[in-house]
Amino acid sequence: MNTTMRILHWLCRVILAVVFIYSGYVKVEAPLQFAVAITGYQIVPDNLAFPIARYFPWVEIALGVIILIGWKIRWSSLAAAALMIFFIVLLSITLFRGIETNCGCFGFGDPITWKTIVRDGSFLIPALFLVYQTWRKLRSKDSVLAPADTSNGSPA
Amino acid sequence: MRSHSKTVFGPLQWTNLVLLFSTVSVILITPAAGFPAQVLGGSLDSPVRIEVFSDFQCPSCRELYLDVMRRVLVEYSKQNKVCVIYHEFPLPTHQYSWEAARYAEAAGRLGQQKMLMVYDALYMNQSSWAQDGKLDAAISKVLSREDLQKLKKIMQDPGINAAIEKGVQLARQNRLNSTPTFFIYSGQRQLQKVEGRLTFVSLKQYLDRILQ
Repeated sequence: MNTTMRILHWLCRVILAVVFIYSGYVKVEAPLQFAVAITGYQIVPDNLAFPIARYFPWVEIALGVIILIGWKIRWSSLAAAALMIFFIVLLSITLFRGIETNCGCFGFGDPITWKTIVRDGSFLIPALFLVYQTWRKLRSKDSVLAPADTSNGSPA
Repeated sequence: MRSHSKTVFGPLQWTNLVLLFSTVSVILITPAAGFPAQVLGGSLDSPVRIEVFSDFQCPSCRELYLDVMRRVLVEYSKQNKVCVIYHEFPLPTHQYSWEAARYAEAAGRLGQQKMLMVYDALYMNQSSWAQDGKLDAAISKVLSREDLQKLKKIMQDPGINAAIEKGVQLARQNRLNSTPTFFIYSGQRQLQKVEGRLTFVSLKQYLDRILQ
């Protein structure tokens, strides 16, 4: 990995870590307000809104920390990308359904608009970059290892 | 040589002590957001206190009161687990909400039971009086003619408008710009600030957790 790629790799990790840790922290501080936001999406039963509001922010914080320290970076970046795609789909569906509610993404009092979707979509870029970079690295490693494995495994 | 110190309280000191104690008690039990306020249920020294800033003409406030707070009053306030306090916060965009707040504020002086009846009548009939402003018609459904006359007399007191104005000021001090907004306190500590309509199920799950 050259220097530019290394800088980009770290920049993406820091951006994603800050996004997830901040987003989780805001929600941990206000679980009831987050429950109001979840209820506003009209997608989960009422009795699940508070449990989700209580535990999901910790998942975001944990993911942010894991990405920052680089533990299982291939899988954590994949999880981050999957989560971002999930958010974008959820926001788009809610907007298409004509539901006027708050995003509850990085605070409260932020109504869902196309701007919200574009903003969340922009965080998908560093996640996809990390996924591409880390999984490509694995594939190139595999392709280097593959002949050796074959040679080792083949009968003399 | 031993010295014995002896404190003797005279009547004046006892009076001062009682005054001090009562002042401390009032500070401790005064709603953190401050008065004016109407206690809808539960005692002020309940372990949890919910303070709602509400507008009688706001549809979300109606839902919060009828679907959530009334159930909190039945399931928690009757056992003095949660004290529910309402602050008037009539928004200028709503034509009749100030007048409705005047009825509610005056009803508070008729006692808690009648006040709750007036709250019920105002929120249940919101869709009709919000159109024509006929608040008397809504209130007369729950109060006797005699009580309604008493209520009208109380409403002439300039203190009613002053109390509502204080509620509005309090909302502005707390930088509120939408209704319903409510705060949850445990003692003097603010636990949560919630804007918008919360379901009873979510609030119950939260209350049960903090009351454990």
